Amino acid sequence: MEKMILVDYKKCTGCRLCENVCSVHNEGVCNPSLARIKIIKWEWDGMQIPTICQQCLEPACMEVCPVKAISKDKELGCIKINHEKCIGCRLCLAYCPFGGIVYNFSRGEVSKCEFCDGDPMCVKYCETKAIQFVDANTADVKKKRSLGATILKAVGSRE
Amino acid sequence: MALKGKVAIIDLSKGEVTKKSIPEKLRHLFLGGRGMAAYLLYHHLKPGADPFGPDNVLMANAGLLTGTVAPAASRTQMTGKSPETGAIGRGNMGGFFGAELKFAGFEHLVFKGASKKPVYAYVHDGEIEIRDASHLWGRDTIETQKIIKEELGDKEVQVACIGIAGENMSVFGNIRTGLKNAAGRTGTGCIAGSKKLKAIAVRGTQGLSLAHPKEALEYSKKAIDKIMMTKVAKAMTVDGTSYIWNVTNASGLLEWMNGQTNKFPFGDWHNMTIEKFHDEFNVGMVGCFGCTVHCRHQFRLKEGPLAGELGEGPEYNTQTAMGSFGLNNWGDMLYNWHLANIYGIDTTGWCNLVRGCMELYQRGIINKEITGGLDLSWENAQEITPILLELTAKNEGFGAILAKGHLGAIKELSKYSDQVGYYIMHCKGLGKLGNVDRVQPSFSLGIATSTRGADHLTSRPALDHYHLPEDVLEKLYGGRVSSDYRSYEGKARMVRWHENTYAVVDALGTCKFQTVFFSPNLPSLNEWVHYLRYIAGLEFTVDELFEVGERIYTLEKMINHREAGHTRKDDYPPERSFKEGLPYGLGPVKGKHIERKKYDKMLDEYYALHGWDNNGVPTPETLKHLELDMEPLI
Amino acid sequence: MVTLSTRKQPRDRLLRCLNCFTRMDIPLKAEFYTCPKCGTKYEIAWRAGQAKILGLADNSSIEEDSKWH
Repeated sequence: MEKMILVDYKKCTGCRLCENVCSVHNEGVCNPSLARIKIIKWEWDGMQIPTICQQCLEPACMEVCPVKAISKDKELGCIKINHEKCIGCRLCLAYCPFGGIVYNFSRGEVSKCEFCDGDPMCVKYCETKAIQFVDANTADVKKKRSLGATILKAVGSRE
Repeated sequence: MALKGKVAIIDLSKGEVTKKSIPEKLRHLFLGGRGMAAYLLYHHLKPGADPFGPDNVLMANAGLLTGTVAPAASRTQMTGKSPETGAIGRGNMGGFFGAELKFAGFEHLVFKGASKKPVYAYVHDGEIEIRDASHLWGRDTIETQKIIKEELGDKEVQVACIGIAGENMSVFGNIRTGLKNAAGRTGTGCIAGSKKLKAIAVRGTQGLSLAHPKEALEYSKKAIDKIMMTKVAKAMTVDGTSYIWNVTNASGLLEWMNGQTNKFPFGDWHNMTIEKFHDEFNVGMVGCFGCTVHCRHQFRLKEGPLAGELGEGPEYNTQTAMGSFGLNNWGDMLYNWHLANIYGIDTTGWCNLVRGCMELYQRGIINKEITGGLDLSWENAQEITPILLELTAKNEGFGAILAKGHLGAIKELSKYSDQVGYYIMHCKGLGKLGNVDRVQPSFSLGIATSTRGADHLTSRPALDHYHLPEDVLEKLYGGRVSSDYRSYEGKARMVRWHENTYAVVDALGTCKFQTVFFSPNLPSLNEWVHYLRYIAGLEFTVDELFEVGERIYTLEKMINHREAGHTRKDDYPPERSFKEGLPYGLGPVKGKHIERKKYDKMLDEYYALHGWDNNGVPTPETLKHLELDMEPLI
Repeated sequence: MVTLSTRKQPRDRLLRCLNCFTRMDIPLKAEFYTCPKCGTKYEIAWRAGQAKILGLADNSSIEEDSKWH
């Protein structure tokens, strides 16, 4: 079953714990600069938005890779990098519209979100569930339910 | 050993930077953060230095675990010799500055000397530049951060800066980061102002290596789950620290009109509750680095000169400071709170002094001639507060008296009456929170003996209010402690235990709100030995860690003794706590006050537990035992 | 009101009387509650299913003599 990481930016408090646990799990060090998820903030407007690889269905990174090092893991629904084939040209980083590819300067290679082998750390540690790991084909229902909750709150339930 | 953050010594007079590693021996003795701060201050501060002069030091001291995956590992202390009290100056702030400093490869920055022109320090990936800040001088704390991020071309830069209060050497000048985080108390912003150090900007892409990354992650998750299942964590995620206000108010444990009354005298108390704030102003909740509790509200001001601006807060402190002398609605409290943040003024201390002056005005001891025409009646709070904030920030008019702090204001105003020192309440020159201490011996002892002055955070034993079973208290404190917060029995032991424990928290750099500060079910020494093992690769037993706290606290006491001559005479709460019983309140609190003989006995016990003599001075045996008599390593 | 808390704590409805320190078990969504032991009456508020004391219900805090003098 294909999964996706669903972001609800309204629930993000900007704590950046996701960045830290991502870097510890994947790189063994506390370094948000190496994290594959990033919280982008507009501090003075009070906004914080989690940004992460969107695991596109037609990934620009996969298209542009000259050595075909990027491929789709059909089971998990995520896009993966084969580090044996990767030559570090970083065209993927340049062409991704979302900044989903990270240049890992300590190892001299690129990295991206690959769902932590099916148990994403960022999702695990996010207290407010601003990021959730959900089945891709029913993800829309979650969003619709959020809308329903807002309406329910406004009009109340039947007497 | 993991966590190799360095100490940088920056001489602003000479423009020189020296970098040093921290020997493992010092890690075992002092950890980091507040512990290393006490050590560095003791050895780098010239004894007897003028707090406003170049021989004072200003330090940024991130916690040992700040920036790591320990829960809420966000804290940094700003340290120096306080211009407000003449003793140790330390203010602790959250936000994101400390973590970024650690990612830049540094744990401690020690600024010495003074620059001739305004400068700011830019710390990035192991390097430190001193840059011109003349275009920033005179700017408020939010503008300064915006401009620095813009000119460095990097929005991820974190900035700690002073506002005009620090620039103008008002002792309430604080150091600020983000919209509201502040190293508030004791005037560290004023020290920065005296060095013409406008800001410190940090940016880091270096990692913090961990001793056991996998175990660190797992233990952190376990700790977070335990924390988030407590009642107090839920209270904080929704109401922030203001969750304390309702029960304190209902009990009669809040003070207004400078402690003359403990029943809200300015209208309807419902208008002061956090619930009212939620209805009218709250637009979201945010948190500090690595914190799942996210106890910080966001609000938008609706009216007045700052209408439309986004602010963060309030805190319990806002209600008990800004809400203590006549402001009786959220619009006014938030406006003045945000204004204080922009100017860079410590609200806790400043509001304490303002209400002291307002009582002097009420009693006719000072009048309009002395206040420069300002009407300091309680009824006039809405009009007068923004004016007083501006005057304090600019160090002008009546603000020039306020800017001197409690000791300076008392000295200045005592020519009008010998009662001034009674009505302007402080301990060691620091003002207190606007809550009642005189009913709880543990709270009174805590604020009276705190190395900072009348500071509740040094030892606040909130557990004293929970009526925990006495066998639970005995197990926790290692001796008998009464579960009644009005009792003196065992409270010396309780206060001393919390002082040592919180010294460890501040040295680790994790947020106190996720520790035994709020609940016996929250992490304490037993848990922190694991954080230290897995994250830092340092081994401690619980007793050894407790002794680190004792060492840090005792060293702070030594600094105070050396710099300000503090002894037993300085370890008493304000006279009002002894003389006046509370006029209102529920049964347990009405009429209560501190009893002098019982207080003295409690103080004797407290000194004995710490290993100090009866005059409150650490004995040579204690210093030797704690290895505080050794030669400096850095 | 913005509520982000997602966990349910086990003793969300237990409070202590501030006068006699007895444990009080507050009925869900109650707006007032009187301590069964000492009779002190409280206004109750709720945060995401957790009971909290809003204040005393007897209005003693806004009596005439509480104005500043």
